Amino acid sequence: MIDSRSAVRTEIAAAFALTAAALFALFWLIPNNTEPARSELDISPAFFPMLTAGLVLFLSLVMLVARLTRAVVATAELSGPAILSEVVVWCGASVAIWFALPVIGFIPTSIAVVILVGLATGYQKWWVLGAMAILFSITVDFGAWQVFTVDLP
Amino acid sequence: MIENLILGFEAALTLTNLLFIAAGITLGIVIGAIPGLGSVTALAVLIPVTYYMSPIPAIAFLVGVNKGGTSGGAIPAILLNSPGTPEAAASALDGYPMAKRGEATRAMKFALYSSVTGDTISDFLLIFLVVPFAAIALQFGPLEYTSVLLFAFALLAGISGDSPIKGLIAIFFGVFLSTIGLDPVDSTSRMTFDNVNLFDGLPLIGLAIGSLALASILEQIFDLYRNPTENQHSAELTAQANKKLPIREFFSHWKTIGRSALIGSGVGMLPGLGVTLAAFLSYGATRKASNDPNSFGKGNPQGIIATEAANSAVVGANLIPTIALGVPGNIAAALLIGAFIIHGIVPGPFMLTMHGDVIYALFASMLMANFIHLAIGRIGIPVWAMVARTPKGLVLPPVIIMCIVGVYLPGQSLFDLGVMFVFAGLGLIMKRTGFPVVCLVIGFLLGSMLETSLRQSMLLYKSDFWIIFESPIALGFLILTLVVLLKAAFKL
Repeated sequence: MIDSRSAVRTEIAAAFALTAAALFALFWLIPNNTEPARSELDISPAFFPMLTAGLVLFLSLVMLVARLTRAVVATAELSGPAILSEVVVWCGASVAIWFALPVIGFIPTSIAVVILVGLATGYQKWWVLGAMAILFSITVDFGAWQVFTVDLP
Repeated sequence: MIENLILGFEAALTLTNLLFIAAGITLGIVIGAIPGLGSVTALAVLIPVTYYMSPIPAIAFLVGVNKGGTSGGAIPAILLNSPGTPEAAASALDGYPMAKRGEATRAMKFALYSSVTGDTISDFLLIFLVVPFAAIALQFGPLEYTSVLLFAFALLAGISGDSPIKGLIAIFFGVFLSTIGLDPVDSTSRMTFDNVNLFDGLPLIGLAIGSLALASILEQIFDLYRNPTENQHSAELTAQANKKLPIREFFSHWKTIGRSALIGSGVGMLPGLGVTLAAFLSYGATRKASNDPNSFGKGNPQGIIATEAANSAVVGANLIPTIALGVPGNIAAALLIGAFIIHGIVPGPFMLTMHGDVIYALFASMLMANFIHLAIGRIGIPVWAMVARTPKGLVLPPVIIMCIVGVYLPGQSLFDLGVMFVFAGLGLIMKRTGFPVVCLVIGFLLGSMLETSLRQSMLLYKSDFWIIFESPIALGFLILTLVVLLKAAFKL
């Protein structure tokens, strides 16, 4: 947990990001990516997305004002930079997994993921981790084919 | 009803079905016993496994997972003072002191028996109440549905997490995401960027597994990276002095069992109220009713009974709004709705008339599952204890792989995997900034229902909002919605 000041700052940043995202949806994403109503009597396909994006915008602004003007109990667990670093690490890892699966295949990717994640959590018996990674990955690949006739990438 | 239930037993009483229920309960307990995971993660990861099954064993399997996952959380709470699920936190208050004085097995038996008894009472309530509820729901038109959904959203936002405004933002963000894909009325594309993968909308499985299961795993991995000592469970329990729990002794607490089961069922029937709330409400009520309230927190078995009977009673009761209205009682029920839809069953009041055979087979499976749960839970106590003590560094990496395989299996699509990865990142950000991920998923799940009913209401009544005053049900739910929102406004 972080101190309440950092938590409020994190929540203000989150409210800003949401406001920006809602404005982007309202003024570019929805108008440019939905078709108009077929007749004047119909309700436009853009109506409901606009309504929900508008509600997100309104609520984000309320949250922003509430955090800026009042002493509220913020519930953010981490500071902005810490969250950002986690997201960057996850983006890198997920892109690597996404590209590795079709290129080097499921078993090597799975073994690498299990070992690296295990080591990252501080588990130190690397031989247990390695043996489990190999056995688990081969079993899952074999099971997916035998039970579901699905060939994992 | 009795006839339908007998027919349900005929359909459900097959070896395959019983084996799937047993497998579901075992997997549920194992995953629930791992601190930090739980029935929601178990359900999210295992729903794709049911794609290739017929509806009855598929739903029975998932119900088994839910039952096992809910009760499994008590095992690490008792043995390690580290609840497997948030709802089992109150079990740790009395379970761990019991374990420390050499009564770990006895405490786990109290937890198991209470869980099964609470669950059974709740299942009977479900069977008796779902038909009258559905009959009322059949009177609902689009206007009433819109107001019920808004009430469910307000309730969900009001009690999930510490900040209702964050809950509401998460819900409407989820609803917004549900609008991606083809328009439900015109079938024109909305925000699809001409990508065929998006024509059916964002994949529910990718979104649910990513934001609920994978995000939770990532959060724990990053926490362990910062504090690796959490990987080692050092709690060594004293030699067990008293393992026995005669069934007569357990049922001597019948008042606590009954009260807790009713509290859990009541909470389960209302959309949005969580299992954790039921557990703590029941713990508080039992302590208040006790002659010796000071013994709570020091190893009073009534604390375990109150918690476990209540949180397991939610499992059956939350299917009442799910089946009668199509509105899930909590996130586990929301995931079950996803599973129903995958198997071609649309939840709501017509479910009983259109798929009555499946629903009564499901009720029969739920009752049978309680006996199987009792047997597996009782035999497996030493095994669950081992599972609960496995270091997280060995448990979490395979769960990531299971998430990947679970999302890839149904569609064999790397696009779905990409969606899961994106929502895992988004779920992580939401968790870290205090936004309830559950609200996002329920908003996404119910978004299309809200859109359809709202648009139907607008077309039917030509956008004349005064019509609300002609529908007492809609007016009643809208007033309740306003009351909940006004109450929530004081803790933005």
